[in-house]
Amino acid sequence: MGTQPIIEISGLSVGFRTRNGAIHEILKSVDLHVNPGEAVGLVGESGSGKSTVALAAMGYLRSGLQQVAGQVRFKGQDVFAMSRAALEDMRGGELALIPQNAGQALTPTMRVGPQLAEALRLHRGLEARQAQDMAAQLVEQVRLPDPDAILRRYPHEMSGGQQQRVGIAMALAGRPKALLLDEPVTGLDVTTQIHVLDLLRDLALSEGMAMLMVSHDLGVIAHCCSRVAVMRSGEKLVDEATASVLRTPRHPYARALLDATPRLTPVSAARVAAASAPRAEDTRPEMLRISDLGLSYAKPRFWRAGTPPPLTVEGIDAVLHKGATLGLVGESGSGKSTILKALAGLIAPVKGQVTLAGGAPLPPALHQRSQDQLRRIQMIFQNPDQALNPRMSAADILGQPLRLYFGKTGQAARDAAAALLDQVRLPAGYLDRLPGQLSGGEKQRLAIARAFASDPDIVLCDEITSALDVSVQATVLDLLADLKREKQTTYVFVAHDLAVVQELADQVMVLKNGRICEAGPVDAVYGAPQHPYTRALFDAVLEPDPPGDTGADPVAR
Amino acid sequence: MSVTELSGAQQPSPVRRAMQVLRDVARQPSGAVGLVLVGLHLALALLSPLIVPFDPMTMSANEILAPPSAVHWLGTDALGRDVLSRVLEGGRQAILVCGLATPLAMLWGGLLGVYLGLRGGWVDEVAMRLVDAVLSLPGILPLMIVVVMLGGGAPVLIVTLAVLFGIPVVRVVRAAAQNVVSRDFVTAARLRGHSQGAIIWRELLPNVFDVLMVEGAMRLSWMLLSFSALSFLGYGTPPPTPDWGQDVAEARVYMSLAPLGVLGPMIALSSLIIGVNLTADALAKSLGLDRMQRAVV
Repeated sequence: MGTQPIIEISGLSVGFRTRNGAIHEILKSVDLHVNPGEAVGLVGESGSGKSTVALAAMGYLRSGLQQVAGQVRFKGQDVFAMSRAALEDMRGGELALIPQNAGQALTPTMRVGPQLAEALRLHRGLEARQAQDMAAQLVEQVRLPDPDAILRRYPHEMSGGQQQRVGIAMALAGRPKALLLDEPVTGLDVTTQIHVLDLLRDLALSEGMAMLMVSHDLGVIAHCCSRVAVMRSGEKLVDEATASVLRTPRHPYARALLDATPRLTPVSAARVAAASAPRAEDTRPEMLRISDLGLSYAKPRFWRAGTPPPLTVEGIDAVLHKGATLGLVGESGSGKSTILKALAGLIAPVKGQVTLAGGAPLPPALHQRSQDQLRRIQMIFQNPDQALNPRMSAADILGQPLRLYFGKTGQAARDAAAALLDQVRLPAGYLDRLPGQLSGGEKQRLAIARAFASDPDIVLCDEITSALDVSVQATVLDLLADLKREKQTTYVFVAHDLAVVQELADQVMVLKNGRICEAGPVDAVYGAPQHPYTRALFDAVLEPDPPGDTGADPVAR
Repeated sequence: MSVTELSGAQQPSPVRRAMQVLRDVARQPSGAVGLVLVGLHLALALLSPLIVPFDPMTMSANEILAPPSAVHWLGTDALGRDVLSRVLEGGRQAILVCGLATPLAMLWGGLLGVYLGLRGGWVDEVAMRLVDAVLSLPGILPLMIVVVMLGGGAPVLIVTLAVLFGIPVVRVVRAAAQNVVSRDFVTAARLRGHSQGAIIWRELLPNVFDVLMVEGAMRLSWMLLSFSALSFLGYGTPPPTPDWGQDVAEARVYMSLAPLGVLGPMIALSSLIIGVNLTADALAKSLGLDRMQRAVV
């Protein structure tokens, strides 16, 4: 590797000026280089500065930020000293960015073909006709099926994975020497993820491109990058070969990050057998029975009252006993969140019914349910920022269910709220805080406390860890497990992360297109998946240290 | 990080928060100018009867259309009344009527807007088409019809202005409320089974309040303009009482002889409206709403 690095960041400090005139640094003397043909991963939790580093490599700083010290060189040239025209030439040309959400980065009003052709005319100086042919070649290169049809589509007519591929084709239009990837697969399903990553790896190999990949997901980095830099609060802590960081992490933070990453634990044959064997009747009382549930988003049409609407979800059966946890897994669009909404009462089932604790079937619509039925089913949401009223203090937020269900007000409510905070391990001093004064993990704890304020029998969890950093994820999952032990709560847990489900659930239901693929005890399904789709789902999981990988340079694999 | 910095912070009381916003507004150049202008006009509206040099309604046959002098700083009008005195007192009626009509418009427009944002469905659809229909009329037309039918007394004007100017508030607040309704904390409240009133009061209103305040300030300036237009057309304040719009109408006949009779009230009215607009702008900025797309009404 005696060649000159293509991206060379040396001693870069970036900061913003605070109100009192001092400079607050968000990058502290960061060194990083990427050699031609090399793939470097940049990991860290939110706020660690990893995206700022990647954008600085393009000579771009978000507004308000300024370069305090150091340099960024692209092919030996100082990017912050470049003229505007030279920068524009470089960006999208020799140095291309693939953003997290390519769907939003594409122009929604233009068909894909002309968009690609425009980039080709701009960066390669091609004639209109040549650009069109070239666009078709690019689409083929990113392995999109039926290139002619794809070129005629608008961005919204494609799936997220297809959009991401078009985004990559767009980046390739300028024949880049280096690619910057900002969380390139975060929004994609696991099975799509792996295809996109393989594609990037192959392209890097065949075109000799350098890649700088920003991700919070160690599995993604392990799959693609030969070297990884770990960042925390603006500082680069580690910069080593991927294999050594992920297998024998020396830095304590790297180890902590790795330990917190949820991963699939292998299930021994004995446990599979034990789980698969017919068991004695569950003696715990039955809490929830779902029978032949069918759901539809189609609005009933009165002039076609006879014909049943097409079902988004069909034939869902499950029985949950007190203290059990059912995990729903599947790709986006598989219907897992739809089922959760139906249990909550947000969607009225078209078919089948839901029974609570052996009683009469639950009324389908929310307003038909009794207050007690509503109280017994509570929901925790994916994004804690959206789930808490920003104008209410923690005490008020917890006070809502306390007053509604138990008539607690004033000091009684405050004491109960403090006790709830204590249960989710937040200090009582947080009672007067607004959600904006809490961190992401703390907000989610508060949301959990609110769900438990109703003293529910069943708690519905909708992707509750996916918006959180890995280290926070782990503590939230621990908290849920503890609460379950204390209160014998029954959970229905939706997650796309199979490892998270394995950690918490004892039953699992694998969904595809709104139908059950496979269901059963977690050990049985995880240890010996029967359905080919389930197997494909497990194969697509990216692990930070995949078994069988010798730790050789993954790019050369 | 940011959490530890804020750890000492407590939830501010509404009054403290209002003071804080006011300080933020005053700190911006536009807000400072706006507040001074509005404050000046408010003070005049309250105190002008005590400080005017002459009775603004006393006519004098000897001093018709007199030029500015040491006695009459802005001269006199066609009936020999002191122009300065009429300008100083001419905003009282407008400020009283609009100052009472604006909170009324905000109240009903805000509540209905939030309700429609939460209710959705066909009720919302029908209501919004009605709003569209009313907004497609030039605003002064329904105003004139009502005043011709019921007379131009202050109570009639206050109610009419509040009704008419509440309609755009409905639309803006509904849009803001829809944005809040789609967030999960509202879903959580619905799942718990709170009543619609409770959801509106606790979950929605506090989150659209900023939008409502800025919209109210904007409506106030439009209302002042409409009120003056009405007076200019002769449907507003009845004649002897000084009023900017009406005075401009009367003085415009003699504009070449006594331009100050037109300029005086016009400058007074514009400075008030500019003051309100500047304050609204600064308010939007300090509440962080300036970057939000404001509905064009």
